[in-house]
Amino acid sequence: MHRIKYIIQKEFRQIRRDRPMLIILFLLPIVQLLILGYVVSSEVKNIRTVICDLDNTPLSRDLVGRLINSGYFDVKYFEASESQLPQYFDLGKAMVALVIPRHFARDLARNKPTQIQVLMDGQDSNSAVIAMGYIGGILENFLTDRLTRQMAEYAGVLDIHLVTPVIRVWYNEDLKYSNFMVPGIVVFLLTMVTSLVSAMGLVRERELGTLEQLLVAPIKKHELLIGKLIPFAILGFVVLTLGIALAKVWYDIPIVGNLGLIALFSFLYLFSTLGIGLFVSASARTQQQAMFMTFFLLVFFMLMSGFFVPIENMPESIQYVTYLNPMRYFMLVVREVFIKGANLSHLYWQGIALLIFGSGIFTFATMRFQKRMK
Amino acid sequence: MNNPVQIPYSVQVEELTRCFGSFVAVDHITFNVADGEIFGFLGANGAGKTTTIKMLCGLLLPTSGKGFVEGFNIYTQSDQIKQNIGYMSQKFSLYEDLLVRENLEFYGGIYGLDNHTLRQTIETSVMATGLREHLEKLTRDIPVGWKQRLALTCAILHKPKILFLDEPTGGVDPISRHQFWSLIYELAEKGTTVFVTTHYMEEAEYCNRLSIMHNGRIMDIGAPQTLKEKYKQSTIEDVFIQLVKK
Amino acid sequence: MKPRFIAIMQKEFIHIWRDPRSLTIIILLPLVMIFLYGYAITFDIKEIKIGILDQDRSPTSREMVRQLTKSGYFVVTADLHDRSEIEPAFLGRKIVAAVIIPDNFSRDLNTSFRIPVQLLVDGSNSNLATVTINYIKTFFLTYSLQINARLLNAPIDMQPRVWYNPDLKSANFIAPGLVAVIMMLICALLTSATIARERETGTMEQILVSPIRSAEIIVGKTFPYIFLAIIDAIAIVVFAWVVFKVPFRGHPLLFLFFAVVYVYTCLSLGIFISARVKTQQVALMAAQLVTTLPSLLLSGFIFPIVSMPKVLQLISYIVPAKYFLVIIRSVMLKGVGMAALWQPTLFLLVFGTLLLFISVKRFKTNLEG
Repeated sequence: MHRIKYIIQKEFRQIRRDRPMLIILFLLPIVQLLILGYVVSSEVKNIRTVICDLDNTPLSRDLVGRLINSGYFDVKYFEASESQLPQYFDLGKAMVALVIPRHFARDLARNKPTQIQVLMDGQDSNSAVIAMGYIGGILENFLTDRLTRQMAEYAGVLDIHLVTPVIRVWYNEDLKYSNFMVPGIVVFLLTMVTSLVSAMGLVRERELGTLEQLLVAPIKKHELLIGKLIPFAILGFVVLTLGIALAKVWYDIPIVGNLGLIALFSFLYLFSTLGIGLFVSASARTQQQAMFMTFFLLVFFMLMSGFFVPIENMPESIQYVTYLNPMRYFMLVVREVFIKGANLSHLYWQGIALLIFGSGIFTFATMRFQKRMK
Repeated sequence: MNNPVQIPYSVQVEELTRCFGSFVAVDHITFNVADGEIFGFLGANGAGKTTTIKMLCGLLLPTSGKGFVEGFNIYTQSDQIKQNIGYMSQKFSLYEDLLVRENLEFYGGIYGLDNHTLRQTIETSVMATGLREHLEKLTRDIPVGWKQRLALTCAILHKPKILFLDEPTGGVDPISRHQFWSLIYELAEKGTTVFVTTHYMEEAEYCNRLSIMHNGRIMDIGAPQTLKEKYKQSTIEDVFIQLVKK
Repeated sequence: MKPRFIAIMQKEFIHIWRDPRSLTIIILLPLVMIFLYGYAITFDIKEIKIGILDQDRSPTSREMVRQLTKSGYFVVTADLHDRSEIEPAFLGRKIVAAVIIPDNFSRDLNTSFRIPVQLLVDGSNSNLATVTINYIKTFFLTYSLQINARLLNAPIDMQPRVWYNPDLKSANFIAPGLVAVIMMLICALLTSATIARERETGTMEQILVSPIRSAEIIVGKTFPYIFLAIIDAIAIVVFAWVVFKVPFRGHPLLFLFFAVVYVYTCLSLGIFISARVKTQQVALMAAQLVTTLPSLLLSGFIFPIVSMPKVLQLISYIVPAKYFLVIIRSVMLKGVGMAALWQPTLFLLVFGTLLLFISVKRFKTNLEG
């Protein structure tokens, strides 16, 4: 144990000396958190829209007003002629074009079905799908309001019964998307920094030849690895603290649950991320290789963790694959604790999964790390 | 080697072999190194010197043959071996971004010296090597000759019984090389066995005994003087050339 | 005499070839991502887990629940018997929403004007919660219309028509973006790292003492990566076309021309970085910060730029991948030609030249220093 101290001390001295690296190590998570918080989203805003209102009645203008007030659409242009619309797409001036047909109000008043045409630039298919959903929702609301009004008018006259949902939202009353995303970003950053730094740290010593010098010393494998990894674990906790502080101060994310619980789970989770870093460094020969391998794994972990792509919508076979992703569990834990204040009894299985993964990956990686050369 | 029973051996090697795929890097070599001896391994690049040293230090497993360092089996007791050896490789494996003092503290630390001993050892060894004035400098900023002395100091902080030096003087000027060898003589006088590989012929002359290696095989072993007489040559270089040409 | 940069080029090719692991990742990563986006990633939400607290327990209420689940948007994962069971179900993630059907629901259905049905939603995933609320509102509207046979419904039919990507396939969207990101990764990240590595291991010194000019070093060192980047770009396009039927409407030669322009900009960025860093580790990290991340996040690759805050939108103007993305999506999906794309092309050329101009002088001195 005495020897571990010296490795840790050396590691910190090196980190401290390497100014550019130190700056990047702290800048990278902060910049990413600041950018990702605004960028990573399954919300689409300011959709450039052109409106072709052929009806031009109070009712049609009401519909256009709803579109504008939704906050999702940036209605930039009004076009009188339908035939002019395609050029908006060709020039990239608009993504959505909405055509309200002539006699729209009249048809509705006569209870005659009517059609609204939605033209879209489908290049960004994700945004298009989401925008389509928004328009659908706005139309539904438009209809509901109209019908409710109508029914209320008839209520005294006719025998009308209306089932109306009374909605109450728990935990995130304002439905703020950042409350959901920002904790996820903190998880992603923790994963990225710890796995990348631990992967490159050992490979660097191998590349520079200092690893050989360590291997001829009477130091046990576990002493060497623990000594190398503890500073990275500490770094992980620094990143985590920084991330949580930024979430709280900058993004104003409420933290309902217990931070001690987050710390406990982070500790469990670090075995997985450091284990992955160790695994990579046991197989990579150069830092570049290590970085590539880690990057590759991170993309997988990110897409398969429910970070911004919901797991529930994936095909079943791929959903099973996500169970092999430790980030999935930790992502859930952090969000549940942050937003809902979940406690250990609700996160029991996640804890066990992280424990199994952490010890499994860590043991496997340690075994792969040979003290002798090949 | 008239009286093998009386001489305690630091290194005993019998028919040691190491292959990399179909390439035989070390080919059934057999030799002993006595306690306190300066034993040289002379050979061209790729003769198998470094591979041999790595096997003896426990960095590499042999393909076949036997080997003992300080009485410990190189197959099974590499942990005990590591406790008793010092090692310095051809590229100085120091942390360039640590201070000289920090490198010393680190290597002393991982060899398990307690704080008190560590401080004392560093004190005495920087006195002996003249590293004192560089103690608070970044390792990357000191001249190569000093780096080499620092690497040697790091390798002997824990007072190993045997010191393995793998081409320790590569890229170092003759004066530094000379100073380096006086340090090695001092060590040997105090009873440390020194096992050194080199391809500098004049360095070979400094050794008590010499093994000339070529293509993974030991061509001959003996004291430099004995070898010169045996092959009727005036320098080790000529002995070497004659042996290699055969 | 053989041009001197050929020797450097050959050496660099050997480096790439000797490192099959990195090569595999460079080729495989984009293909795997297309695959995931093509098969696994969808933002449609279905089968939302709900709990039902039926206080009425009548045939009518049961029939309503049956209709609710018939749509496929909801699955009932918890049969609740008391309000106190709702919170644990939320915390245990068994349900996303709970529908509470009041006492006397079936009786009120025939007597009252308004019959309230309570909906409690777990708002932690705001997106999912919003969609759930919308679905539920729509459902009850339809349900109300059904039970009031006398009311006439005048639906508004939404008629979508989609340009360029009529089936709204994710693969069509992700494949061009991957080309932009991977080319940036290879050209900027790999070149800056390889130059830093030579400096770290001291081999750069060896090259510098030879009578070679720094321009020749740059050409020699970067050419293999240009080659690799273009091969990889073609591989992505072909794979997307064969496996996911992603269209390629433009002219292949036009595509190659734009690819070369983009490579030029990426390389300038790579050289710009390597002129400033000394170690591989810093080169890799810095390259991540200024190349990979902006290309992934601020280019419109996955997340639309218009949705971002103004500051980030402004930053996106200096992200080369943003311009190339416009170009390549236009070439692949729209099939438009040079005339419509001269603006982004001009930007890439100017930006690249500017960076190169700043770096070259510094590069030479830094190589020596």
